[in-house]
Amino acid sequence: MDVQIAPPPQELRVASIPVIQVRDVTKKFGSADPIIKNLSFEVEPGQIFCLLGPSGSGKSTIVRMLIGIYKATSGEIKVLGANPYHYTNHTRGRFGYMPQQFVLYPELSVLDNIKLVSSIYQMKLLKRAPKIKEALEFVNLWDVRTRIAAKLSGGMQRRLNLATTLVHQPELIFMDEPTAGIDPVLRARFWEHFKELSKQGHTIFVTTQYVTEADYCDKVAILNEGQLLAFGTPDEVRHEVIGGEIVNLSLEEITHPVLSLLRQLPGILKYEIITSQSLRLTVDNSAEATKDIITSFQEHNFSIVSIEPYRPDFEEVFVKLLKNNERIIKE
Amino acid sequence: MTLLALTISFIRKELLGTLRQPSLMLTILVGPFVILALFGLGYKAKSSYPTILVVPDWPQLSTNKADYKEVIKDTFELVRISKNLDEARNALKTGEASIVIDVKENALDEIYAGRNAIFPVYYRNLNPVDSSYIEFSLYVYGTEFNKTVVQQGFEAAKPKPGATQKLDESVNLLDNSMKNGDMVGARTQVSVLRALVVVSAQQLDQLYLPGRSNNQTTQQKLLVKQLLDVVVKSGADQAKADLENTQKRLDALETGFNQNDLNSPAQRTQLESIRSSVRSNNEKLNRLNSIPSGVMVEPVLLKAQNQIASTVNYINFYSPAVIILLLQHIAITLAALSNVRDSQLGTIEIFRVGPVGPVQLLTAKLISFMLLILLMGCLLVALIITILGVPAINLEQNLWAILAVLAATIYASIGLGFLVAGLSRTESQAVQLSMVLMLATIFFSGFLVPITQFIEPVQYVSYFIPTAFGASELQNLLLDGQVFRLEKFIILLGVGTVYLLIGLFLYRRQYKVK
Repeated sequence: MDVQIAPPPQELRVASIPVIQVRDVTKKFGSADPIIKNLSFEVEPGQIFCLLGPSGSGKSTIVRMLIGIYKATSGEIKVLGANPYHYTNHTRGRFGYMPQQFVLYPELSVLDNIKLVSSIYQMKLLKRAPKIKEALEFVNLWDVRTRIAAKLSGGMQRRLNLATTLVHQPELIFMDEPTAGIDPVLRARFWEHFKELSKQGHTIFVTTQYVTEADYCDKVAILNEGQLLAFGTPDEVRHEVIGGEIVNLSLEEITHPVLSLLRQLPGILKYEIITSQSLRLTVDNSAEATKDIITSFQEHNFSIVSIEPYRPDFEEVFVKLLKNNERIIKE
Repeated sequence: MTLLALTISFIRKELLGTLRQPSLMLTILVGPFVILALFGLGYKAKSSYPTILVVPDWPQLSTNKADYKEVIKDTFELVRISKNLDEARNALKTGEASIVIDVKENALDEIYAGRNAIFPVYYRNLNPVDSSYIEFSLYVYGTEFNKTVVQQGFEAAKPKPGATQKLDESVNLLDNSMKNGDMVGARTQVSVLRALVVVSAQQLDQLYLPGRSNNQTTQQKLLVKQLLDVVVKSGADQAKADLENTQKRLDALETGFNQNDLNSPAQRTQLESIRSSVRSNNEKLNRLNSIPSGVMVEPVLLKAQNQIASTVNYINFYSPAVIILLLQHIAITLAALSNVRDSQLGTIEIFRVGPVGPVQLLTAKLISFMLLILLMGCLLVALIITILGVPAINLEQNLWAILAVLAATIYASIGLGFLVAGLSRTESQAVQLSMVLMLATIFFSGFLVPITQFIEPVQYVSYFIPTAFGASELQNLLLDGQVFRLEKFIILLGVGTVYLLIGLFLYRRQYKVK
């Protein structure tokens, strides 16, 4: 099933000016096929915006267009109200960028690295110390501030990258696959950091290929081969992809009368027999459907072993989305 | 303010990066000293080549090398004497000897046939400097050999002291004959005296005197103000006049004898005049005889006096140049690797995204590298003065000039480093380019071969090499206390600025939106 790109919620657009506006953007390198195809989305202030897609889908290219390293072949991009190809130093100071790899100096200590970056962001020599401490404490690196970066673990190096991105307290933070290649425990900690930053009012634009991370975000854009396949809150995307919500129903026995009853109930879009005693129902609204099923089954004296809403994980959603997309392309 | 903060950050980065690598510190600071000290202790300033002397197979010629130690010495270390040329030449191939000198048995025949006697010298050496040195040394030794032969000839050609004694004896005998009334004896002595005067006059005419020549060459003219001076200064003219006077007095004496006047007062006066002339003549001849034949063979020596204000030696000369060469190399590699490494690490992305432009970044890097390398340069200069004893003439007056030379050299070298970075994609490329520049510096900066030994167009290459200016200026300032040459300083600053601008242009390409 094809999923339409959901527009940003009306109330958010009215309430505030989007931090990032991308309209009909296409990016080509030379005469090759476009890497990004007719992309449009908006990011609202204070959101965690996740650009989700497999490796090579064009996530880093989009980030590089947003930070002004690449120029869109066509379309329009506005970040903090400015054109990325004509950023002023003032605008550059309002956002931070965390590259995919560790790009700081391995021979310098944690503190020296963050000091160097803070001087790039024109932080005053005498006033930057508290902010540096704050950033390092935020990522739990203050205690190892004198350690040489080369001697940090991979996870610590990522956190140092994050601290240097945050040190000048940017409004908008771009992070290109910050959790790539690190263990799940550390990834979860990173997302805690991002949530905390979001609470503090920062807007976060993050790319990832871990689909399960979508649930941490306020908005998700799913990208494949340079095309936006889905856009919205994680639940909106899930709903669009699955075609509704899921309810798992367990019975003593699945009979024709039961199936006939389910077909007659409003709000049940389809059902799928999982085992001889269990069914997966796709419904418009899981709460209402559950209530209707219980009532109808009682009226017809059908017994229910269990009924519960099921929230498929995003991995399942993502796979389904890609399959849908492949089918559409084939058709 | 941003530039200051950035500069301080880069100074910290480079300083801490260096301090955290003790081996690098050792290489940079101690390395040059170990090299210079070893050079100073080990360099003997002249080469010594194992030499075989091949002599004719004559019974009177010994094959004991001790007998030839006065002939073959210093540059040529006599290893043995041989009478077989083929065997000696084979020793060149085996490496036993570097030089074979073949003394030909027909040398004297050649000389008397009106030709130069040629002693072939065989050597086997790939090094052009060594080859030139060997050939120059052979020329010197050939000249020395000939001088010895000519000196012996001069010694043999000197007027014999016996002639003057005979003149004296004969005058005394004449005196006795006149006093004793012995007319026959007196006439005999007059004849003897006449013969001796003729012989002495002939010897005077044949005597070689420096500057005495009818066809005066430039060399003769440099020695003699006018021709007369030669005979006046040498005394040969007076000697000749004395002989002529003696001849006249003898004539007068003989006229008196013919008139039977043997010992009148007038005749005595003639005799005393003869005695006086003979004495005077003898003095002149003795004076000419007393000139050593060595002086006659080598009448003029050029005595060199270097007018620089310190002692010339290899350590003094090369230490400032080595420091400058080292500073140039460090500045080029540091600046080049810094930029290339930023690209390879990806740090350039942080710089690109941040509110700092390429001009600010390169300026901060330039200032930080300059300060660090200048500090290193000052330390190295202080160390060569204090530890290696390199002179520092007028140090107090020239301190600022020395700093300016170091700063200008480092400035231009950093510019060159940024240019190298712009042309390199990887660190190994940057290192290779730096090494090529090092090689060009060694050849074309005057470090190894004086710039004046190149043809004029190639000499201009040196203007593009910071070491060419830095090394010669630091040597002039430290070793001779010379005045700082502002025009060369300005040229170097200009060249450095051109390098920086090209480096900046290439660096900015990385900032271009793709």
